[in-house]
Amino acid sequence: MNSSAASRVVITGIGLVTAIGNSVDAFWKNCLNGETRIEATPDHWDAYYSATSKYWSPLDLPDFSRHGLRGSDLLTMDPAVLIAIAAADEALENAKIERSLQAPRSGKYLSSNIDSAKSGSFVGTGLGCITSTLDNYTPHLLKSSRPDLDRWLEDQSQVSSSKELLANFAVNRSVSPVASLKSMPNSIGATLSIRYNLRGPADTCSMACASGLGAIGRAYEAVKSGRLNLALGGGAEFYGDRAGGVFMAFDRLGALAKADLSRNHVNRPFDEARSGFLFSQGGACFLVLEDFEHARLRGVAPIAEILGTYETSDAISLASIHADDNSIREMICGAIAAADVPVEAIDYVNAHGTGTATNDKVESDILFEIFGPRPLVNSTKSLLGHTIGASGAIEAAVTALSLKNGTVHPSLNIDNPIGGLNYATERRTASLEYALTQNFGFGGHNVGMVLARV
Amino acid sequence: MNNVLPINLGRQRIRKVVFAALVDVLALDEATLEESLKVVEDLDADSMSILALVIVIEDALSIEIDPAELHMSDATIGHVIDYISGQQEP
Repeated sequence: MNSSAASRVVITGIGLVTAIGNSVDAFWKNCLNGETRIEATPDHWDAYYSATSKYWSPLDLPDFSRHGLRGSDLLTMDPAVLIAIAAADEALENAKIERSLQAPRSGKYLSSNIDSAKSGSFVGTGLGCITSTLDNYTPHLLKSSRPDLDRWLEDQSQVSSSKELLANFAVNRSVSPVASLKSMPNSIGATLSIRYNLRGPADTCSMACASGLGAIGRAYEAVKSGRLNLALGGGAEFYGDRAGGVFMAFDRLGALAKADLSRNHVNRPFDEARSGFLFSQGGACFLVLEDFEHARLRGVAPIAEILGTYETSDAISLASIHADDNSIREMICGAIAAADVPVEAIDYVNAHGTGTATNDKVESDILFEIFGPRPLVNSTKSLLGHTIGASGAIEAAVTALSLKNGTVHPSLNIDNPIGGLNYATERRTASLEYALTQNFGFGGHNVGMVLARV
Repeated sequence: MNNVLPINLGRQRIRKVVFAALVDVLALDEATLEESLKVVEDLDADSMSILALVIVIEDALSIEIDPAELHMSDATIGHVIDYISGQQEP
């Protein structure tokens, strides 16, 4: 390794909640087997909007009682917070962080083998806790009209029940007293700091699709600088509004997969016939980042090492990447320079790989220009679809697991590849020493990170 | 929803709703609950679980409650039941 022992940052724990597995073991096995979870969008969404895209990847929420979460937690926390807790619990457990409850039923833990003042959380999220925002704003809007609406509905013989019709408008019957707290994007990181007694920074990073990797980058910098010796870094995203409003928003933007293809062929990053990304209902992933020496003294074996990260902004458009005027090359070269490894050393690239026409074209062209056809390349979004704020964290976890296991998962549906890259269209085993993972977010955010096998 | 109960309910009915909310939100055994117990001091309710109690009671009774009016920091279960019972048309 090129960095000095004192400043090395390693990953010692991973936790995941995804559509293809709610534990590292299940997730990784399903990745290698090329498993997906793709379904037709719910029929009742058609009553609100005629979408161009017809498929999504729904997320089954885990059993939160296994994480000691009570009725009060389920009522006062957004689902994005709940899945973040589930993922962070697993990451800390894998990292052998010892925890004990501060008091019975408190839901707050103390850790005997970490220094709270030198531990923090860094959370990436795109739309924050938008389920709670939407669930509470609808009843607020309806309230002034509700008496008139009730009276009118009583006269409508074709409507079986006003309650039934009103149920289509609102999940909540009134604005919750915790609506503001549940809706805050920072409630994810704040809840993690409260739950695990992390008294360093609790930072929230919102850079759309690059949020998760951006958050891990900030966690890395905090540990590398010595400000912290342990940090949770990751991302969480969940869209639970009953009417599919977030799906509709991305569909209206024209970003979602449109091709009239069968369910298992619609999601095809880096293929000629790609037509947009597969909308995912969400996911969460957290990594435990730790100073190498801190981990060694605790007797915990690292999963992988982070060597460097770099961010740039295109400063061009909120919506799209410009083919000739972007800052992606600078981001990749900056990450490699920060890692202090030669370009030729990169064995594997976990690409952003959304499946949108311009993104994949620009990304594949730049990757070929910098790396040529040598490194293996895959898209984790070809399995999961796009989990927005969680995607970069999930892909960083995949990159670390690929390095550790010397295996990369298949990138699905690349029948006619673009860009001349060395795509892993099937599971591939190789000696992997260094890897790059990268993400681009709406708004022109570019983040790259170089990881190494330990 | 209103801050006045839509129909007059007996205190016993409101008591049942409040007890059920405490069992649900704080994961308590109903057999251990008595009206003289203090919600914070005896039942370990924190600020977030108090808000969760309000959500469950509001939903069950179709009423809006101002959490500050409950004075939960010192209230007994009986005080909570009495406050809600008072939110009825005379």
